This record gives sequence, C-alpha cells and structure tokens, in this order.
Amino acid sequence: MRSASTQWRVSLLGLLLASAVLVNARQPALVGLLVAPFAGEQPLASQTATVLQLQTWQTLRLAPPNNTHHLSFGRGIVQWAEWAPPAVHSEALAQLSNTASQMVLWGRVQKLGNGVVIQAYLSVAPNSGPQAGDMWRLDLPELGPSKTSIGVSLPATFFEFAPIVLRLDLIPLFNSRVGTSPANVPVYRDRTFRDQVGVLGNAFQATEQGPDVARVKTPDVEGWISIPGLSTTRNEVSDFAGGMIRIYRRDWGGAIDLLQRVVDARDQPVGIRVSSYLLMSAASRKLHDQIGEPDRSLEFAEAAERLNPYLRETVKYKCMALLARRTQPDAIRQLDSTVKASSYLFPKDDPWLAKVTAVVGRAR
Amino acid sequence: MNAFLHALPTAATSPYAFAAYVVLVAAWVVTVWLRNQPYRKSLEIVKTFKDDRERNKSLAQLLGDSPPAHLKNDQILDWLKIKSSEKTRAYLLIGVVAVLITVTVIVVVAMTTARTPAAGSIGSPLKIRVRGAGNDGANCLPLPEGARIGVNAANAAPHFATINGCEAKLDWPVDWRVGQTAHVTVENAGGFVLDEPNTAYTLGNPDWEVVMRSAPKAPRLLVQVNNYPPEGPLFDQFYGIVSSKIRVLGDRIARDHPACDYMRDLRVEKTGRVDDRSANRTLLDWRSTNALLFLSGMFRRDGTTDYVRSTPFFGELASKDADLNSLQLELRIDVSELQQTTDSHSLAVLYALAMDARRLGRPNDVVLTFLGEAVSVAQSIDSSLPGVAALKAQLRKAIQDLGAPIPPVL
Repeated sequence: MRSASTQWRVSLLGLLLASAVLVNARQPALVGLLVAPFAGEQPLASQTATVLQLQTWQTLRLAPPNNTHHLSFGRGIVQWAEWAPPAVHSEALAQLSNTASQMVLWGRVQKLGNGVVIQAYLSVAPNSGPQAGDMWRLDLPELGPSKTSIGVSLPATFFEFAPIVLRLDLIPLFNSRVGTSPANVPVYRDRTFRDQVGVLGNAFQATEQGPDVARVKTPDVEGWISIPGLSTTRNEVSDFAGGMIRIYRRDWGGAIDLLQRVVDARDQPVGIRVSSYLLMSAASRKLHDQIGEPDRSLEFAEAAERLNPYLRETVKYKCMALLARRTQPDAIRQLDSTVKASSYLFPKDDPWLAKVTAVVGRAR
Repeated sequence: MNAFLHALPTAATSPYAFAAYVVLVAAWVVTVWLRNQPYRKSLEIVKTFKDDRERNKSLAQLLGDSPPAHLKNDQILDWLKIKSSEKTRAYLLIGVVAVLITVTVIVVVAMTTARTPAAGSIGSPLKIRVRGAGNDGANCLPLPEGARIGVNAANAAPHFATINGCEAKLDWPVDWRVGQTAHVTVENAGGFVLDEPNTAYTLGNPDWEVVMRSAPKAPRLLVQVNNYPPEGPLFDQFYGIVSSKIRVLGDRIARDHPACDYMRDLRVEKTGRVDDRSANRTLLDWRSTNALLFLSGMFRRDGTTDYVRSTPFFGELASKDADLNSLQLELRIDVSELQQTTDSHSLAVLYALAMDARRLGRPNDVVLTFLGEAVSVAQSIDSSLPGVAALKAQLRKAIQDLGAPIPPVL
C-alpha cells in the first residue's frame, strides 16, 4: 500500500551516461524495470534491493560498443520504489501502475539456520511490449490472407531465481557503502572508498563503469560508488532482468550476451535457463534479420528442449525457428517431425499447432 | 401464519407501535374535543342572547350555518343536536382512520419481525459447527477464508454467517420462531458442498451441526503443514520458506497456463499441531478435508548441522503400486541447501497436482503442464538425497502413463 509520503524515483542510464530524476508521471516511451522493496529484515532487505537495482542499472546501454551498424535502443530506465514489499506476483504487478516500467523485480531476504538467503522474482506485466503476442512473429503468406502470420509471446511472465546465499562478511560493507535506497548510496573520492564526498541523490551521471564499481557525477559531487556482489558467485538476477530490458528495447545482441551468462549458470533453475534460451532463440533470429548475424535460433531452442522437452512454449519456439528457415532444405521435414513428436503437449485442435501443420501440408 | 402470530407481541411493543398509539390517542382526544366544543359554545350563545337575530348571527359565525329564523330555544337545541351529529360522523371517521393506521403499523411490524430476527436482542447467538461427512469425517473442515453459511427460514430473508475455523455464529436470538425449521446453504467454500442439502435445522436449538463433504469434481488445493518437532524458530523459518515457495508456484502456473488458472486458489496452512494420527485416521482426514497434500516431519541435529525429515502424504493420489505415502525426504537445513529443500517439496506438490488433474479427468495437456513443471524442478534436486529418487521414479511413471516419451533428463 502506498503511503501519502510515498515517492518514487527513476534512474536513466545511457552509454556512459546516467541520470536520476524525481518523477511522478508515466513515461510511456521508456522501457523500464521497477525494483520493488524487498521484504525481510531491515536494513538488509533495502540494501539488497539497492544492490540489485544498481547492478541492473549497470546493464543498460544506449547502443552497442563499436556501433558499426548505427543502432540505437532508445532510453531504458531502472526505477525504485519505497512502497510496501509485494508478497505475490499480482501484488508486484499492481505496483507497476502509474510507473514507466513494464516489469518489476521483487523478493525477500530470509534467515535460515545461521545464514541469510535472498529470494528474487521478476514479474512482467501481461500485454506489455513483446508479451502482447509479438515477441516473435512470422508472415505465412502461403496460408492465404486469413492466416497470414504466426507468433509467440514471452515464454513466461513470472520468473523465480535461484536463492542467493548472502555473504555474511559483506554485511559491514553493506552498512558502510550501500544505502537503503539508491538516493543515499555514498559517493567516495576514489576507489579506495575511504573518503566519502556525498551521496548519489536524485540526479547523477555515470562516467565510467567497472565490475562492482561506477564513477558517477552528480550536480553536487563527483566520485565513485561501490556496488558489491551479494554472494561468492555471480548472481544472474541482474543479468536476466537486464536481458529482459534489452529484449523490450530490441537490443537483440546485448540480450543474448546477458542471457548467455544465465544459461551458463548451472545453479539457476531449469525454468529460468529454458526461458533464457527461448528469449535468445527469438533474439538471434531478430539479430539475423537486423544486421545479418548468423541465425542461431534453432540451436538455442533445441538447447531449451534438451533441458526440458515437456514445455509447450519450447516446442512453439522451436517451430518458430524452423518456420523462419522453412525455405532451407530439410526444415519442413524437421518441422513435421517436431509437430508429430510434441503434439501430445497441446490441447486437442489447438489453433496455433494447426497453423504449423497447415504450413507443413502446404509445403508437401 | 404461526410466525406472524409469534411476532405479534413483539410488534405490539415495538417503538413503531408506540408511535402509532400516541397518534391514535391524540386523534381520539381531538375528535372528542372537536365534537363537544361547538355544542357547549352554542348552549352558551343560546343562553346569552335574548334577541333571535343576534343569537342566530353568533351561531352562524360558530357553526358556519345559520339556523332557521323564529325558532324557539328548545327548537334551537334540537337543531344544534342535528348539526353536531353531522360533524360527529366526520370526526368518528378521523378516529377510525387513526385506529386503522395503528393496526396497519402493528401488522407491518409483525410481518417484518416474522421475516427478520432482531440481531442479538435476546439470548446468545446461534452457533453452527461445520464438520466432515461420515462417521469418520474430520471434526473441523479447513474451509477457505471467506466461506460462509446462509440460513433460510420460511418467508424470511436469508441470513449469512462467516465461517471462522470450523464454526459460524449467527447473531440472532436462538428463541426466534422456536420449533420451526430452516435450511442452510454454503458459499465460497472451495471444493466443499453440503452433504445433505435438504436437511432441516430446528429453530430454537442453539447449536447446529452442518455436515459437508468435498465435491467429487472439486480440485484439491490445500497443502496442510503439521508442526515439525521440536517446534520453534527453525520450524517457523522452514514453514515460511516452503509455504512461500508453494504459493508462488501456484501463482506462477495460474498466470502462465490459462488452463490451470484454478491454481490461484492453492493454499498452504499450518494445522498448529504435531501429527500423531494413525495411518488410517490420516487417510480419512485427507479424504474429508479435500487436501492435496499433508506435510509432517521433524527436525534433528547431528553435531552442529540441523536436518529436516519431511513426509508428504499424497492420500489416494499416490500411485497404488508405490508406497509413496511412506516416503521420507531428508534434507540439510542450510542456506546452501535451500534450493534442494524447497524444490523437493515443490516436486511433491507438482506431482500431486498432476495426479489430481488426472483424477478430475482434465485433458492430458493440463496434466502434462504440471508434469512438465515438475521435470524442470526435479533436475535441480540431487537424486542421492533420501526420498528424492523414489519421487523422481513416480514422476517418470506418470509421464509414461500418459503415453509421452520418458525424459532423458530425469
């Protein structure tokens, strides 16, 4: 529940350019992620949310490095809120109303035995961006004017990450270097992080990014902020959230880069890795269509299928990859065998599968 | 009619009736006064005036009608009586109307009272206890929050009482319509229905027992967690993490799979007691509570390491050729093992949901939605952990039973 004093802020990051402004109106042109307050023991829960917010913020970019194709992805934002922590997916989505964001990162910090774990979730608003059935769409002119295209939406809208085991030795570091919101993160004179010269506040620019650190410039101060890792191993929460933002911004190559880190993390749940592969599959084909990069969409979809062959979305993405290359030799035969081998996963007379079957029939 | 007659004394002493009495008395006082006052004044005029013309003029002013000329005083008195009797009929009409109004008020109040008992006016509230059907039915049914009972008496508006725990209290006097009967309905009761919907309950009895059973086609959506001894912070942490995981799981599947949207109602509840029931009693409770799964267990310490031994009870959802209900999961309570702990319980829930979908006759693609999710979860769990291999074996069998290929990943 939002209190009267509730306020929310937004941070914007471009290529080596970051700014944060206090806003209270919707900015529909932006692609954004809201980091909701984390539930659990304070100030640890707030500090955790701050670290994840800043880590995801570090993944934003305006264009790829060495931008030979002159691509531009527009502006992405990572917002944070000071409301009550959501407890379920629907509560998390409700926090998106009147924000510029299409997805929300939320979770809780929990004690177990002598340790502390962080459970993070990502909820994506239905009918926003690629979720509206246009994650990946292909024209099918061979089926006639009434069935001219076929598409898939996001593989899922709700993602649950592997628990992050918090490094207890980091708690003193959190208390000294991480604020309870990005606005009060301390800014230091240099990378020794001994001499604090101010706080981030509501407006800042990044002039240099590095692992676990960023050089920032605010209207009042210039210096370095520390963004410590949460665990002994890399956490893929910000990689996946950053990858999803890049998907929404049509930064296909950048999305594949970030999501590759997620699929490589064997401790992430299979569900997260399957979704990552499927997003990479769509992104790869889009990148191929955009700048002629090699199409690896089938390779990624098959990797998802190897992880779990019983997911309908995986079959759909594999069919999309095959449909995209249906003029190539053997693609229709593969499509036919995929449909026959996986039809048991679909409802009887499923219209989506019927369309694929019609393409196969037409090609023979 | 009996209800109406019972309600008459209440209506006759109601505030509305008292207001009508006041109006009635006032109407009659005014009527008598208005009837007598002109006659008395006329007599005074007759006595006062000797001149006929002056007398008739005054009488005309008083009565609005001039008496005929040249009448003697005794004839004038007769004329006055005739005139007064004409007015008296009009005044009597007013009085009769007042009586009718009073009677109408009492009748309306009596009819309303007959339909609606006055909340809490007399005696203690009516207690309605809810229990499971059959001689072996659960004493207390785990109904979802918001479940309520409606009581319908003849010619009365239905009254509703929210069920808290296994009891509902209806805030009306138990002696309302003593001896008559009422029927009950249930709302928002999840998968539960009345065992005998036509049962008549006697009014005047302060304690009712309503018997309910699970509807044959209602999905099982309750995970009941018994206390794990020794109870304390460790159990609270364990319950918080596992229950949160199961709730999120239900929420996620409902969101991403429209055919499984009934998963929104998946609930996790603590029973608040250690499970010391016999196997037979556990099965009977599982049947009558419409539970998906019971979780029971205990914690043990080995050196400085805590372990949880958890026993999921699948009831009749367990495969008949496997002793799944005696399966014990043993997991280390440690942050680094958290995923093993939560995923092994998620796997048990997903398997039970798939088996329940089969029991309900849902299409194979719905059953496979749960099994597909289970395959994802199962891969994160170490098969060498006690109990996990048996659970995975049942998952493989369930997939095979649907005619689907056995997954190489399991």
